[in-house]
Amino acid sequence: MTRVSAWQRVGNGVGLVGVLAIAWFIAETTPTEEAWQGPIVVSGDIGETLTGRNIEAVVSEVRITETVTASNGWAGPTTGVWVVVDASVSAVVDDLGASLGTADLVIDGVTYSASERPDDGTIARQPLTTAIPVSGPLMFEIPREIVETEASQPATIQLAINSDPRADSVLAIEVDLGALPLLPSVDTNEPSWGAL
Amino acid sequence: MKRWFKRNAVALVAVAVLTPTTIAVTFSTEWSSYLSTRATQPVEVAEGRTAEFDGTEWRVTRTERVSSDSRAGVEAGLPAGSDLVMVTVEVNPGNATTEDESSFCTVRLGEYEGSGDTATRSWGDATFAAIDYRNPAGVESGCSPDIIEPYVFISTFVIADDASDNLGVQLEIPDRLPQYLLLRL
Amino acid sequence: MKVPTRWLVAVLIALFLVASAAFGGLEDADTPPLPQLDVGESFTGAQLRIAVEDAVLIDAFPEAFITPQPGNRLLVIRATVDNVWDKPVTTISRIGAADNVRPRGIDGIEDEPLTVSVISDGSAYPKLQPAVPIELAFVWEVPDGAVSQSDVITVDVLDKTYAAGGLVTYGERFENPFVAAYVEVPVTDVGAGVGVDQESETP
Repeated sequence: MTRVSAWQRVGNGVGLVGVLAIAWFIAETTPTEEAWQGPIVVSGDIGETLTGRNIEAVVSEVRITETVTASNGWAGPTTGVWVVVDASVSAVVDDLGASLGTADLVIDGVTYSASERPDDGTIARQPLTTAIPVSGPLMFEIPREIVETEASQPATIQLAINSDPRADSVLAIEVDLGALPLLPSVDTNEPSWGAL
Repeated sequence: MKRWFKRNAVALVAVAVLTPTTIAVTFSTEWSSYLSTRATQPVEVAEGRTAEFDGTEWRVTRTERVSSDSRAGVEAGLPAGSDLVMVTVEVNPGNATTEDESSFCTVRLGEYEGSGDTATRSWGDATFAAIDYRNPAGVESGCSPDIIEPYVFISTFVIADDASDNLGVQLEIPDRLPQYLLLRL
Repeated sequence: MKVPTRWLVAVLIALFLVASAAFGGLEDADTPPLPQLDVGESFTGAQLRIAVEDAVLIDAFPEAFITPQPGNRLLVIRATVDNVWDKPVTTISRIGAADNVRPRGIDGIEDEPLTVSVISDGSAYPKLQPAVPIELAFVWEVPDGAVSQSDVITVDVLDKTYAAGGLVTYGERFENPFVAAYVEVPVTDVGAGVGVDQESETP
C-alpha cells in the first residue's frame, strides 16, 4: 500500500468540506411541505378583477358597520363589528362542484371566515358558474378593538374555490380597515346571478 | 480512467437501462390507475351522426341557443350575459345490458378550440339552475336508466354568451371511464 | 480494580431510588383536583374560553327547527364561548365546540348535542371567529322527568390538545377532548315558553 501524501490528505479534507457544504445548502433550500403544497396567490386591490386558475373575482366595496341587515331579513347581532365585503365571483374553466369554499379575512396573522349565519343572504359557500358571476355580500365578524383606533390596519381578503386552499389559486385583495369609517348600520344587496 | 470503464462496462450498461425503466414502470402503474377513473379518452362523434357507445345508440337531433337578451331568454329568467343551450339527444338503448336498464350518464357542455378534444371551458347541467325554463312535459332532461325503449332527452346548459359555436356535449357513463362520448354540436 | 458495568448501573439505580424517597418515593402522585367554576365564570382552554351561563328545560326550540320526540324535552345549556385561537373554530361534533360542553350523569345524555345554535338568531353550527365571544345554546334531548325544575346538574367543560402536521394529516387541529373543569348549574324549567332572546330570521 502506497503512503498517502500530505497533499492527498488536504485534498480529501477539502472534498469532504465541499460535500458537507453542498448537503447543507440542499437541506436549507428544499421547499417545505407547506411551500410546495401552498396556494398560488394572485394579489390585487379593490375594484381590480383578479383571475386565478379556476376562480375570478372583483371586490367592489368594503364597509365596516355595527349592525348588518341582509336582503332575506336576517339581522346579525354580534359582540364585535361586521366587515361587509361586496364581491362578484365566478369560475373560469370548470364549474363541476365549484363553490366559494374559502372566503377569509386575514388581519395581522389572525383568520376570520365569512359568516354563514345569513344563509342565502350571503354568497359565502354558494355554487359558482363558469364565466357567469354571482354577486353579493360577504359578512365577517371581527373584534371591535381592531377598528377602534384610527391607525392603519392592513387586511387581506382571500377567496378560493376549495375550502382546502392547497395547490390551487387564492385571490388576495388588500384593504386598509383603518381607513374605513364605522357605520351604524348597513343593508346588504340580495345575491344575484349574472353579468354586472 | 478508460480501464475503469472497461472493467465495469456491463454494470454501467445495466444501470443506464434499468434506471429509466424502473422510473417509467413505477410512474405508469400509479398514473394509469389514476387516469383510468377520469374521462380522458373521448370517442368523438361528428355533428348529426349516430354513435354507438355502451351498447346504446346516441344522436344529437337538435341544438338550440337562446340569448338572455331575447324575449325567450327573458321569459326563461336567464342571468345577464348568458345563453341557454338546449341539446336534443335521441337514445336507442340496445338490449345489451343484463338488468333491463339502459345507460346512466352525466352530461356537461364543453367549449372547444379548433378540432381539439380538450374543452377550454365547460358548464354543468342546468336542470336545477335558478332559471324558469322547464322541459316540455314528458321529455326527460337526461339519461333515464329505467327507460329501455328508444327515447329522447333534452339537456339544458346555461353558458356564457361569449362562448364560441365550437361546442360539444361530454357524455360520461361511469362504467365506461376513461372512455367518454364527445358529441360535437 | 476493574468494576463490571452492570454493578455500576445497579449501584446508581439504588442510589437514585434512595434519593427519591425524600420526594415521596414510589407513592402515586396526587392528581390535581378538577377546578369548579361558578355559573358565569369562564374557563380558558387551549382553543376556547367557555362560561356556562345557565341550564334551561324547554319543550321545543322552533328558531332552530328542533322538536323532540313525544315524551321528551330539550335541555339547553347556554354558554358564552370565545375563540382564543387565531383561526375560525367550527362548532360541529367530533372536531368543534360541540365537544367542549357535556352535562354529566343525566339520563339520555350520552354524547354529542342535538345541535349547537346561536342564541340571538337561531343559526345552527356557527363558525366561531377569533376574539368575538358569542352566546351559544347546546341542546340535548332528554326524557321527561330526567331533569326537573331546580335540579342542580353538573356540566363538564372540556379542553382539547393542539396537534399539527402528521404523516397522513395536514394542518392544525385540536383533538382528544378531556374534562378540564365543571360547573354546578341549577335548572330552570321554562315549559313551552321561550326564555331566549331572538332576532327575526325569515326562513
